[in-house]
Amino acid sequence: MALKRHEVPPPGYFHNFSSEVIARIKLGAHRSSEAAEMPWYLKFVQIFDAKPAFAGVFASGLCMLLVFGIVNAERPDMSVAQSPMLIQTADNTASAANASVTGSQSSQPAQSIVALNSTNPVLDMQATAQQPVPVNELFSQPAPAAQAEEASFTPPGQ
Amino acid sequence: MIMAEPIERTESATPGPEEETTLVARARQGDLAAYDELIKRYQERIYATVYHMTSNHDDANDLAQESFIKAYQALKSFKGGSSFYTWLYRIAVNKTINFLKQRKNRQHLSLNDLDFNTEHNPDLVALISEKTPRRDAGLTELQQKLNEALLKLSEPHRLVVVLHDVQGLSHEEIAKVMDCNIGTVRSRLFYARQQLQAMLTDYLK
Repeated sequence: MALKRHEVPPPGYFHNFSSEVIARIKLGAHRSSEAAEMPWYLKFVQIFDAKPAFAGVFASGLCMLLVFGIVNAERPDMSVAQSPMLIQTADNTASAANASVTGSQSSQPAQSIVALNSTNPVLDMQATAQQPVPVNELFSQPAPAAQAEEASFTPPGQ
Repeated sequence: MIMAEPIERTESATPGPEEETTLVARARQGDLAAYDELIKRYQERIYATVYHMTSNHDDANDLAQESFIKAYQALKSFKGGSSFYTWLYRIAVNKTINFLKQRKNRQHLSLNDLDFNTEHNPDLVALISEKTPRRDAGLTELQQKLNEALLKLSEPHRLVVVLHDVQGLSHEEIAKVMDCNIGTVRSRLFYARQQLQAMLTDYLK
């Protein structure tokens, strides 16, 4: 193993070694301070420079978001009233509220609490009127035109 | 095969503990001149350790520089529980072992030249001049074979041989650097020497 001790690097190698290390330390510190002062969008772009794969992933994500937005925009609006799930939920809530109303007098406070805490318009109306509310009123739709009755006016004395 | 005793490190090469502590404290506060002084003190040992582990000058240069840079960046985490050079050695050794794991399948020797004193080393002169089966082998060939044999050892075994037989660290110091007990160091050294002797039989008397 004595032979190993005689292996030496090129002449003058250690003369510049420490200065090279210090230069690299200074460069690293300079870069990190520059990076700290850089605006966020430049830092963002630098990530793409460092790893081009990120640019591809980011572009793919943007494309997918765009396609999703277009597809979603072209889909016809589903009105709340037409949604079978919402109607079913509303029916269940209404029947539960009715059951509590017809149950007993003592259930009144509980029902009012439910009505107060709930944002469901069905519960509100059930709590006040205690009678079925027309569906069109629940969803602020105009009531079907009332059948016009001819007004008859007979002046007094005729 | 020559298994030399650990080298006696000269007093001038090893700074006094107070001086080293002062330099480390100054470097920790960002004093690059103090850190430059620390680099100059340990550059040869760190380079040599990494070089003998990799058997490649360029890799050793990169790893030694990176070890010093990492040590500077991690100076704040240096508690002073061990001496600075043990801590520095540990950084360099860990960095080298990680590097060797990544480089496992591409080992390329780029050996440094032997210095002028080689030809005047009596042990080496005796080795190549006596009647061994490969007495015609030159020092360069011997160097090549020795490095190839070293590279066949596992990293922990090679490290123990390099730190003890080449760098001259004691068993206790190696145990601190490798974060293991002294018994492990001794057994690894014994096994590594046996392996090397088996691989270099032709060059032994």
